[in-house]
Amino acid sequence: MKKIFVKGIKGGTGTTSVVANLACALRKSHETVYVIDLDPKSDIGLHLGLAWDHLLGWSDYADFASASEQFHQDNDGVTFLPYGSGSNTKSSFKDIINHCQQLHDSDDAWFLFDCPAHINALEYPLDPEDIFLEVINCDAICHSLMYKQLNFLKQSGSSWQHYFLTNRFNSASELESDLLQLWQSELPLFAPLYINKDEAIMEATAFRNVAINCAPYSVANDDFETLAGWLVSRANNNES
Amino acid sequence: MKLPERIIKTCLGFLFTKKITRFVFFKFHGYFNQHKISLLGAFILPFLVLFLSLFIKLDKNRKNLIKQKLKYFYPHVTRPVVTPSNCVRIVLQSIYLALFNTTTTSQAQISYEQRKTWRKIKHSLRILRLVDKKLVRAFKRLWLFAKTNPSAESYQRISKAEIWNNRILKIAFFTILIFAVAVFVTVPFSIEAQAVFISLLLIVAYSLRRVEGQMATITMITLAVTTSTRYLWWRYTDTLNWDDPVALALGIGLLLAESYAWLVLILGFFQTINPLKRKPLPLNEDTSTWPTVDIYIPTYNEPLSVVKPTTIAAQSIDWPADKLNIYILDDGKRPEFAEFARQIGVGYLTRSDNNHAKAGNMNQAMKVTQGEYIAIFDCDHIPARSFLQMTMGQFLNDSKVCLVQTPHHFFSADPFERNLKNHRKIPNENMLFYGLIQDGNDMWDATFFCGSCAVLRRSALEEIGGFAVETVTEDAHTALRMQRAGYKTTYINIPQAAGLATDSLSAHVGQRIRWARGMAQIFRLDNPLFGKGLNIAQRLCYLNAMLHFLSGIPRIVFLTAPLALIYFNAQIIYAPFVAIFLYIVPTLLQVKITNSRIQGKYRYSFWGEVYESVLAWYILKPTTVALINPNKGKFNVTEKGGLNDTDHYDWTISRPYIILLLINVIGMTYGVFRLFFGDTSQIGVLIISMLWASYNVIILGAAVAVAAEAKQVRSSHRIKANFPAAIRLANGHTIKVKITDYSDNGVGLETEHSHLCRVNDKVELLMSRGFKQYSFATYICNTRDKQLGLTLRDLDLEKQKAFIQCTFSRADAWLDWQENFKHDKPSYSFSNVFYTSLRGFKNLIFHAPNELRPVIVFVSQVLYFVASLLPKKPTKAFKPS
Repeated sequence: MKKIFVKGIKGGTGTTSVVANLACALRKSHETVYVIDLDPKSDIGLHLGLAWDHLLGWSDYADFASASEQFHQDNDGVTFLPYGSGSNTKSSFKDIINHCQQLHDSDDAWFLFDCPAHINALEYPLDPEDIFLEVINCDAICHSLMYKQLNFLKQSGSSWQHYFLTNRFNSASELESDLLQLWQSELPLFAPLYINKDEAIMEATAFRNVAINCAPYSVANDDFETLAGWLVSRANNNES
Repeated sequence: MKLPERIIKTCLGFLFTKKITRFVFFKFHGYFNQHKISLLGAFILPFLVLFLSLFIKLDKNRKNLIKQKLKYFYPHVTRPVVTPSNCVRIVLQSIYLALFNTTTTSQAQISYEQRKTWRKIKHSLRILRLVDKKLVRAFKRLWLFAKTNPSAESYQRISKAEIWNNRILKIAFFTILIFAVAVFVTVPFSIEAQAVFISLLLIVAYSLRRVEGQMATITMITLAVTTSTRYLWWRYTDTLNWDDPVALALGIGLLLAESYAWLVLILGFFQTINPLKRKPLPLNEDTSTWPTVDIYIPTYNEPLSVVKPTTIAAQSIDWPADKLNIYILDDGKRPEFAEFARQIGVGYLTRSDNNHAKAGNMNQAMKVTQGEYIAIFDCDHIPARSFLQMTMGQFLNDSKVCLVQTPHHFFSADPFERNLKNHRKIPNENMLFYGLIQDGNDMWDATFFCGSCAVLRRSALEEIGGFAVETVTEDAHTALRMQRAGYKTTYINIPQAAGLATDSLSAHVGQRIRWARGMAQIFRLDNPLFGKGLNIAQRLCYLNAMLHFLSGIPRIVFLTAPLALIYFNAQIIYAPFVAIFLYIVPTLLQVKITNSRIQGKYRYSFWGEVYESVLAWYILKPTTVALINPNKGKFNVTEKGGLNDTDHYDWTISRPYIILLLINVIGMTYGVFRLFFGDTSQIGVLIISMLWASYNVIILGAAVAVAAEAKQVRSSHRIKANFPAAIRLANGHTIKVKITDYSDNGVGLETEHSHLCRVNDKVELLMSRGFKQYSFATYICNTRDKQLGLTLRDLDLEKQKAFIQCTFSRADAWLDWQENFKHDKPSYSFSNVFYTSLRGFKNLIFHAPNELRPVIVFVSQVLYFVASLLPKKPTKAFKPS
């Protein structure tokens, strides 16, 4: 099984849409994909076509076995588990992550975890082959946060694969292209690709769908395909 | 009623009834007053009618019927009927009707017959193709069979035997081979034997033409060499008319021209027998070991807009920044160039004088710069970023390499391509040299330096005292000197830069004149055949290059030779008609087939003749002058980047070919006249001469077509491309697109689906170079279904640089130029030349000056009139009752 954790370096970087689109892109190349929402906002369903008034999720059940009835499947075949309303305080996200491995077809399935921005990477049960993507935007705040995070990772000695992924990149902005060039040239752990800013991603959410389905002609489609391809190559490196 | 009439009426009254008298007078008045027939005629005609009516019943219906019939049998007779031209028409038509079967069959039957004939033609064609295919396949099999090594032990033992390495045996083998060829070349054959011999060779060559592999090529070359040498031998020994001094003089002239053509052919075969196709060598991983490179961009009078992209692209070449220095060498000494160089941070060099033009300019620059290597770009040649990566490996691999040349590629159409409208359809004049000959030269270590898009080793240049300044083609001369000094030159056939082609025929011709003069100068001043340091192969390659530019006189001889027989009855090839036919035609076919195979992708059959014919007259004088006095003549700069704002015809430059064309056309007309009224024993030779002359007319027609200068619409040239990019619309949507073409101020692109963009919308164009993405503010200037045209406006220098990096200086920007062309098909190519030639004649008439217009109108009217006299087949459906 391949586990990808996606977390915003701060709130509002577009993490959930990255997860939804990435899941869809992986699914398009006939991979089995599970999306687990670990974010109390519980909004992954909105990207994947779940009804607005559906409130239940794994946090409303006492254990994984009973929560598994909340697995939904969207039109493309992505299986996802929403967070829910958090009514059952006993369940914890670590249990969920650990239990995922028990799913019957989990051997070469992809697990995408939509992680909330406020819980740090260290708190997740991460294996060496797990990939942790930290979503950033090209701005000064992210710049400072990233360097802090780098120091932190260095001190704590991370064993997993950690990458920073640029989202909503707009090359028309001088600041953004300068920052990106700076990061590309000197930042370790910087993913060699970025997601362009594209209205299609926002619009797709308004249709309770993902950009890959709504706007296959858009650059977002290519960006997520590239991201998926890159992740596949990372994961294959792990196996070999 | 007048008195005479009354008298006549009374007289008639004695002979005829009153009714007939009235009829006569009625008709008379009609003929006289209405049809304006003479008095006597008008009086006699009614009697004629009366007389005829004794035999034929002439009522109204009958009359109409006869009229219809006449109209049917004489469709082209005009009214009034009684004119001289109509008499001719009627006589001719009557003869025609009497002699030929004109019965009209029903339409259905005609089409049935047509279909039947068509089927027969198709059937025979199919059989022909089948035979052709079978023949070729059989040869292929035979060939492969001969090539596969039999595994039998005895064979292995023989093939591996020591004896093959024996020197004496080798010499003996070659002696026998040469002896055999000599026998084939020199033994006189009877006509029948020649026919058998030559057709055998031709069949072999014809069947081999599609067989792949180097050995097949070499076999074909051997056959072509044998045939052509045999032909020449025959010409020298058998075909000179020693009794007729005029014919002898003209015949020797033709023979010399043919000998020249033969020599060039043989040298060409030698040069291109095994093109090297050198591959780039990888560089060391450690960039600190890479050498320093200076890039020179010499300029004299070109506008800044031409030099700017080149400089920017040169800056963007992938090489460690501290080891790359760019210099604009401005012989024009213009302040705006200095300012531009300062702005973007490149060197700007001028000098106090302008001695020795480009070579002097670069020599001066060498004194003040220090790079270990010098890359040279003409100011309009925009280099790709990979230029040094592709080339420098050769130097680092072999310390004797002093030059790496890459092809000159032109993104704009040269005058031939533009005026004949065949850009990217037919390989241009340059392609043969850069696609094939340079690769062939490289095999013999004789690559020429072409003045641009090349890297040189400074130490080698310094050893020979800098760029050669003695001739106007400093480049070729410099390379020659370095080779004499023991250095190697190399060629990499990967376009790594592209530039502007000359923009008018006169400029193009001017440039070729310079090359021709320069080559002739080198031939005199530093003859590659003599002197030290070169091996025999290099000497031959240089010889061929120079001979190529001496083609002026021979080409004109070929264009006029058949006229000697037509006009003066001079038997320049003194042999029976059958012999001439059996020697010339198969030899020509053999050479054409072989050349088509070798040059196929780089030069289509018959186009070489067109290119040469255009230049022949113009390089004739400068080469001759330079051969006699090599120090005469000055350096002329080729003008580029100009505009042709109207369609016009360049009468000055086309004058020589128009004169040649005229004497050929008049010769043809005279030939036709002689066919009918001349000596019947001459008809065979006459026909051959006329066929040759008509071929010349076709070639000259194509040459004339080139002089019709087409309008150039865009000042900046569109370059075809195919790479992904994206646009961001005002509403934030980012759409992926494919760039289909670009120029220095715009791009054309294609979206995947129909778009909803409108003209003047502002969109952002996103293009990537490596990991870096650039955004350009653009406006939509035209839209069509899936296509968009964007213009870039007011870019600052930084953005201009980015734009050039994303487009012109892409490593793959020019890679597809040679893949665009299919292999030559001679018949197809000939029809192409033929249609071009027709267009040339049309152009001549269309662009004729006003003084000539009445003549043209008159001639066309005469032709039309003569055509109207000819008999016509009755066509209208007519049902005889």
